[in-house]
This record gives sequence, structure tokens and C-alpha cells, in this order.
Amino acid sequence: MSPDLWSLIWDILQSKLFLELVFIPGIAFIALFTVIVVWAERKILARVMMRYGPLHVGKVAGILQTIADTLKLLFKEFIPPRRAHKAAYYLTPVFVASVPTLALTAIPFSKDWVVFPSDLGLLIAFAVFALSPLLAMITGWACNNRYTVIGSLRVIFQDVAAEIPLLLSALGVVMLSGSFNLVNIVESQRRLWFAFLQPLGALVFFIALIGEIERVPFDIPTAEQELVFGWKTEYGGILFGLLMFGEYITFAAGTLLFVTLYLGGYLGPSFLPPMAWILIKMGILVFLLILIRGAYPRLRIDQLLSIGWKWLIPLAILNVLVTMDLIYFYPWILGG
Amino acid sequence: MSVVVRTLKPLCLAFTHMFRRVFTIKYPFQAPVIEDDYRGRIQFFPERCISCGICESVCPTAAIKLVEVKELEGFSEVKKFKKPQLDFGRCCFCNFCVDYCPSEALKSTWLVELAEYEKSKLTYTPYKLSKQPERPKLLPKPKLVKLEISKVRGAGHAPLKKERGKK
Repeated sequence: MSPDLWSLIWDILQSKLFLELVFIPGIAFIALFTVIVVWAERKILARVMMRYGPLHVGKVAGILQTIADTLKLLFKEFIPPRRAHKAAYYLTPVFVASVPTLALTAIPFSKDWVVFPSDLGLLIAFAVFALSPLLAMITGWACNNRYTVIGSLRVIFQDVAAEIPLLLSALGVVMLSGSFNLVNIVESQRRLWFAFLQPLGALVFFIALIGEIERVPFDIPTAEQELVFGWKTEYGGILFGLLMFGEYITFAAGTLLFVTLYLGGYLGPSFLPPMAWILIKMGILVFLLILIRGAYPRLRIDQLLSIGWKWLIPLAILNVLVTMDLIYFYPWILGG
Repeated sequence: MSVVVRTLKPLCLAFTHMFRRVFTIKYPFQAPVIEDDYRGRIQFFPERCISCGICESVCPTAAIKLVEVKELEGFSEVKKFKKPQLDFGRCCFCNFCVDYCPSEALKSTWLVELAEYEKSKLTYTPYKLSKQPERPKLLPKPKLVKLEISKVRGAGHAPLKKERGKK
């Protein structure tokens, strides 16, 4: 090959976008996050239930169990249902796994480490979140199975009940920082994290986020005990693996968004780089969410709807009103 | 306030459970605790048996069958009579035979590891049934081996640790 091509490849390898897309928050980060979090989830849940959890694969505490499971999924046959819409059946897992990664492009990992720096970063993240129920609905309909259809209907109910309070509570943060740009939002938390300025908003956002990323106690669309596996019932093999992968990417994006909005994002004492701080905060939040999965039972769909409509939305609106009053009467909290 | 306490209590409980002793055991490598009066394999005491046949007629799965016992089979002091033969492939471990036996010649033991590679081996003759079950030896921890192919013996394996020592 000519030296020009080599230098071009070398330039690409050295460019920041390449590092961002490949390492963090790109492919390597997502894959490593999924592998570690699936293992940690199984291990922590096992410890909560006083079991051992994964033990044998890999030398230490079954750390390679997830990789073994992924290999198993790769070699498994998948059998599409006879009356399924074949194109949608095969294509949606790819989109379910790839669309949530777009939310990661808006998250700042340090002041100048954003894949897609934009003044509307928060809106991009929310727009990507809003796509997930659509994909779930297409999946459930394409499988042509009663469980998947019920599961996808539940996804729509749940996401309407969870997404409105999610947006409304994030509005308080936007009002305080005066920007939709996630870097600006993080930078305006230098004095005090927004979790302390807006405890109500943070709580509403946290609960709505659990509903949005469909985790226990709000994993109603994939309730294993009632619907077989919700809208993912008919999938097997690596297609199922892709669906689970997408679920964990959504998990990563949701926790990163909470950390960015309320826990000061990449801010922290300077003895560690900013990227380490956001990952540490994210790890603590992931641990808390796994612990919540071990502690609470699943709610019914009507209970979730009543929480979402009767409590979260009014509380989020109350939070917006309180923030307006704070900004009007005590403008010094804006840092001015 | 009580709502907050009630909500956070299970979370704290789950967190403290993480540091408790593990309840489950690593079964093939660690002996399971099975009580002596567990409904496991049934043991037969030939010197007490009166060959009444109640066990045969009471068995719900027809696993027990009375068979003629030859003297050579180890019952030289017992008279020639029909004794129970038990097929553990059919047995449902209901212990009716133990309960109904008028002379208490049948007793259940703790032995539950009854798996065999051949179905015929599950049929226990009166002589085999009268043996006292032994506590099973624990499986050793699996050792890491590497594949070794020789032209003479075909595929085999060699311990991995020696190789490491050489390096």
C-alpha cells in the first residue's frame, strides 16, 4: 500500500472521533459495560438472595460467565414463528441494539469529550429514549404472538406514564442551568450538584427513569411470571442477545443521563481524570439499581399508571413551579 | 414519614443480606446435608422379612415384585422364600412399603444419588437391596488439563500444572 494510505489510516487512528467511537463511549465501553454489569447483576442478586451466583467460568468468581453465555447465544438456532412478519422480526433486534447507542453520543465524558457536541444534547437523549417504545411495539406486533402483543402494549402504556414526568423533571435542571447543552448543565453544577438543589426533581427523575429503562420494579412489559418474556418472547439465539444488549445500553444511557443531570457528571476532585469520576458515579448508580431489583417486587400495570399519572406528573409540575419561584425570588442560586 | 421508612427498609435489608453467610452449597464438591430419616433408597433386612407380600400389593407404582431367592445369593441362613425386589426406575419414594411392613424389614435411608447409566441397573435384587448404603465419596475439584494427541493412544489429556512448572 502507498504511504499516503498509511498516513491516512494513522491519522484516522489518532483522531479523537475514532477514539470516541471505538473506546469510550463507543463499542469497547458498551461491550465491556454489558459484560461486567450482567455479571455484577447476577452476582449481586445472588448475594442478596444468599446464593453464590456465577462461580466456575473464569478463574475468579465466574467473571467470564457472560462471555460464555454470549458464545452460547451465538451458536444457537433461532426459529421464527410461522406467521411472523419476517422482515420486521429479523430487523428490529438490530435497531433495538443500535438506536440506544445514539443517546450515548450526547453524554459528555469530560469538557471536550462528547461525540456529538450540540446545544440540544438533552433533547437528543430524550428523543432517542422516545424511540424505544416504537421499536418494542414493532417487535411485539411482528412476532404475532399474544404475549408479545400484550408486552408491547404495556411498553406503550408504561412509557407514556414514565416519559412525561421524566421530561418535566428534567425541565427544572434546564431552567437552573439555562441551557439544553449537557456540557453547560454539568459546568453549572460546579458549586453544588443539582441533586441537592432539586431533590424532588431528582427523585421523580430517578423513579421515572427506572420505568423508562424497564427495570424491576417497573419491568412490567417483560414480566417473566405472567407474560413469558414480554415482547421478547419469540426471540432466541443472538437475536435475543441483541435485545438484551439493547436493554443494557439503554440502562447505561439512562444512568449516565441521571449522573450528568443531577450528580455533577464528570466533575470531581482533580486527582482522578473527569472520565473516571463519571464512571465511578455511574457504577454506584448501577449498583443501587441492581440492589433495587433485589429488594422490591414488581408492580402491576395499573399501579404503575397510577404512580405515573397521580404522583410523578403532579410532583414534576410542582418541582417546575418551585424552581420558577426559586429563580424569581433568589436569583443568586443561578450563580449570578 | 413511615412511607419513607417502609420504602427504604427492604433496600437496607437487601444490602445487609449481601454480607451474610451463603445458604446454598457447592453440591458436587461439597457434601449435602441429608437427614438420616430422609426418604431415599430403601434398605431391606432379609432376616426380618416374613415374605407376606404386603409391600408388593401396596406399592402404587408396582415397583416391588417378590422374587424367589436362591441360597447362593448370600442368604444361606434364611429359609427359601420370596423376597422383595425393587425397581428404582419405577419407585416414587412414597414409603408405603416401609409404613405397611408388619415386621419392619424395610427402612428408608438417606441415599439419594441413585443415577445409573443403564436402566437395568436400577432394579435392585433382594441381595443388593439389603446392602447398607455407604456415604458417597465427594467428587474432587476438576483439575485443568490440556489436550494431548498421541499416535498410539489417540486423544488424551495431560495435567496443565506440570507444563506451567517447566516454563
